Amino acid sequence: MTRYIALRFLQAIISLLVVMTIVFMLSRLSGDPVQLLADISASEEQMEAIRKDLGLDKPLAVQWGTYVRDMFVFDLGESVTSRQPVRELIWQRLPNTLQLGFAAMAISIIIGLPIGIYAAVHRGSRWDGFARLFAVLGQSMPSFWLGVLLILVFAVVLGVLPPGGKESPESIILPAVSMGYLTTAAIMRLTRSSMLDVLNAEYIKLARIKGLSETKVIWKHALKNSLIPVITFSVVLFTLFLGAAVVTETVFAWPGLGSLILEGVRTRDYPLIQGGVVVFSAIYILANLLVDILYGYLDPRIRLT
Amino acid sequence: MRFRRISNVKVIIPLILALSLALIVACGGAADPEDTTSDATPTSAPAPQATSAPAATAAPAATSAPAATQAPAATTAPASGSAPAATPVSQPTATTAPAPAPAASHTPTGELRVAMATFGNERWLPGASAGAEATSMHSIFENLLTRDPSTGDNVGELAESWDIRDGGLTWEFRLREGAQWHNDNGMVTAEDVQFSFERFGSEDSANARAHLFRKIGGYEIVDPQTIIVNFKEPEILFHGDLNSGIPGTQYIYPKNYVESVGDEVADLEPIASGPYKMVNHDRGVRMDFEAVEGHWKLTPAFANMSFLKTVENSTRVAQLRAGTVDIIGIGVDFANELKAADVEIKSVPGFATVGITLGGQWETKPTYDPSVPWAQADKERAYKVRKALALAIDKDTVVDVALGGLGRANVSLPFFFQGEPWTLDEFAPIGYDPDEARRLLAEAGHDGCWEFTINLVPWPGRAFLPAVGEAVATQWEANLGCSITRRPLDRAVFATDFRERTYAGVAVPYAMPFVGREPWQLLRLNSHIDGAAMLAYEDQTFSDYLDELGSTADFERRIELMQEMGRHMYSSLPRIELAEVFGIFGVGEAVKTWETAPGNGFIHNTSYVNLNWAPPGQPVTLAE
Repeated sequence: MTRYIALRFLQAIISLLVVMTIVFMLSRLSGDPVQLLADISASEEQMEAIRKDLGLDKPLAVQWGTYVRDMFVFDLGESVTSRQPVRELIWQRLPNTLQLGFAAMAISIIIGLPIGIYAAVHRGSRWDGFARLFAVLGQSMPSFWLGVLLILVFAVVLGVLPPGGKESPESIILPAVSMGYLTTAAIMRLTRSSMLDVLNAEYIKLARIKGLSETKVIWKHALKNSLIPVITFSVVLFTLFLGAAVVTETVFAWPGLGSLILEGVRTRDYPLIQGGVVVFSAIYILANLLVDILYGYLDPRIRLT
Repeated sequence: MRFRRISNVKVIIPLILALSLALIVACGGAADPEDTTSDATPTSAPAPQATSAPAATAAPAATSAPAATQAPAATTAPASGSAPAATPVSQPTATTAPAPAPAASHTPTGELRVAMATFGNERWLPGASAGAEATSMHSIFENLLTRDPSTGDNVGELAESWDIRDGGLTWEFRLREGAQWHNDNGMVTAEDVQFSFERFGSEDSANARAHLFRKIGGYEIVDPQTIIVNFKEPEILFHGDLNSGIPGTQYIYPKNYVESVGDEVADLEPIASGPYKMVNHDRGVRMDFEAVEGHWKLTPAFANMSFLKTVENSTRVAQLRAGTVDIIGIGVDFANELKAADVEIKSVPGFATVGITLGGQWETKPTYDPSVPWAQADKERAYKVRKALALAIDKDTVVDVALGGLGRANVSLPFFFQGEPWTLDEFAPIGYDPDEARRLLAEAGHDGCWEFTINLVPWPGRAFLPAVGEAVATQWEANLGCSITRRPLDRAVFATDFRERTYAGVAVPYAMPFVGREPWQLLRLNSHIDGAAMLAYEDQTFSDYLDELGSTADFERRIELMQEMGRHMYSSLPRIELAEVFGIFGVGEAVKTWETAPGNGFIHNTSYVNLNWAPPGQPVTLAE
């Protein structure tokens, strides 16, 4: 088990290093950052001063080495625009993103799970058809479009929810629904298929032959086993929210890490962008590392593969 | 097997996530819809003939409500109810007793909520702000001058009067008595002015007009309310750079406060002198302000004001429609949407003039390309090509289609608006005549049009430019048979081309933003032959005019020079000017009146919302 954990940990570190390198290289490949940061009428001297200030006058390998070293000690640098430490800016915004992510996750599970179970139990029925339609819509509808639609209906037309910002507890509803709908559909589909697998299993047939009530068969024997992949997949889905947050938070003016990164993109704030992307990636890799370890603990066969 | 599937997903998803975000980085972001300062670093401004402010002591207007007794500025700054706690503003010690507060005609009530796309860099040190902060700074800071919304003329704000001497080498400002720093930080003095100017011009200053303040040779503090500024070389429109009515970030800062608390604290907790003071700042999210009752200039109609940062345009529109905000900053590219939603639009004429810059014309530059028809060596033929291109565009259609009707096809040269003293009748807008255009093209040796590229760049604050380019390209194709490649580009990418002038043969829609009333003020920044970038004109004769204008203190002589320069521009037509563009804001029902300075497309004068405007120093009353 120790060797397995060590191996997974090493893989996580390598993954993070690869992500950091990709972000670093792509931000340089997009052109000379100074050309983007400097005012259009800036002189060559002013641009050289910016280049020096950001350490961009050094060789690329040196820049990369400094960048990786700083990242691993969580020194994410200073925002070019606000001159605040990027670490602090991220720390201020991250709780809001996690809050939104948990809310979206809760919506996904609360809605997706019962519908999935119901659709599996009533396979082929009209309600199963509705459930599948619900899933198709959820997975094909871009969250930003859904967000605009939700704002229009619930904020502008009905006036029951705020269109944006984070000023009251109900402010979280629309962005959470917008972000959660996609994963609601995914959870519903996974629950349905997993439930169908289990309902066709031999031990379920045996339970029925033994005369157990259908309620007991579904809720006690089938559901427990069919939830294992759903719960595991939920962890992976949660990390997806971090990526979706960039768009959703912007549409709803939600003050999270996603909107902070987009602001960094808009203002060419490279330290902010790099820091934000690496934090997102680190959370993702960490979550998956935990899942891997959990898997290894629950199923010894995995440790041996 | 299931584990293997999940494992694959886990490999793919982080890569997609990382690549997506990295691609966003690589491609650059959406244009900032409100920042118009990134290409134009204004240096000076309007109405130079006036050398002193109107008398500030008269109080003729009767107030419509009983005068309320008001205390001096409160010393505490409680955060507004719903705002998240963030950076409370500190309360340093008072240095001077406050002056008696003027009687106000009303008591401020309610809250004004304003949504905007950007707060800028949200820094509060003199010299730390580059341009996009103008809106948030305008809410609390004051400047030496401002502008009359109805005429655009300069009037004193913190300065009671000013004087220019020695052809622009010497400027003297006399400050008003009674202007106070917030939270009992004493009076605004000449020392504060000197401190602010010195910081604007310091080596590490990010201020867009730092170069101007670096031209100052010295200061003389005559008394606490009088300062003389001596320039090393003539500066004839300095008062335009110290003006709340012009987009900019040169405001007056409290010397004692900044020096006593230090830069680090002052950069986070601003103390200013305006009719609102900041009581809460949640970086990148919101700012909350509280009316300063008994302020020397005016008592705002609203007791509280909040600025909310909402980057997405359509969300700001929804906020306004839902009634959760009262004012939004927006661009004319959203004009049709606002109209469709029946939202009230407040427009500001003279925000910009939009036109088509034709690349590769300038013989003195290495990027000159005589193979381009509009830049060919035969100047007469090249002129006919440019004139033909201008005649083939129905400018009214461009205004309707690309600007939502919120503009006017009334210009042939940038900022040479009809009615201005420098605009001669002969500078009439070039009409729409496709037949004449084809004839001129044939005369220039072109039986038909040719293949070329038009760039579609959503410049900051001017997201309408791609639509303008599309409208123009469509007309050139229809009327002249051109074959035009539309090239969508991010502004940051094209900035390199602008600097290096590497766009010969390419047509570039570009809108010149307002930086001052006189047209040469902007052209000096972006079209001088020795300038860092080329956005419009770039020949020696033209630059000679700009140089002479920059050192001519006499307004009448400048008018003559601008007329001569206009003739030179009009006769060569290097750029096709299409229309005047309005700045626009969406306003809700709570906003009854809001006087703004002409040309200033930033949200400003919010302390005057629902008040009748009067020059600073005169009673400001509640609007009926």
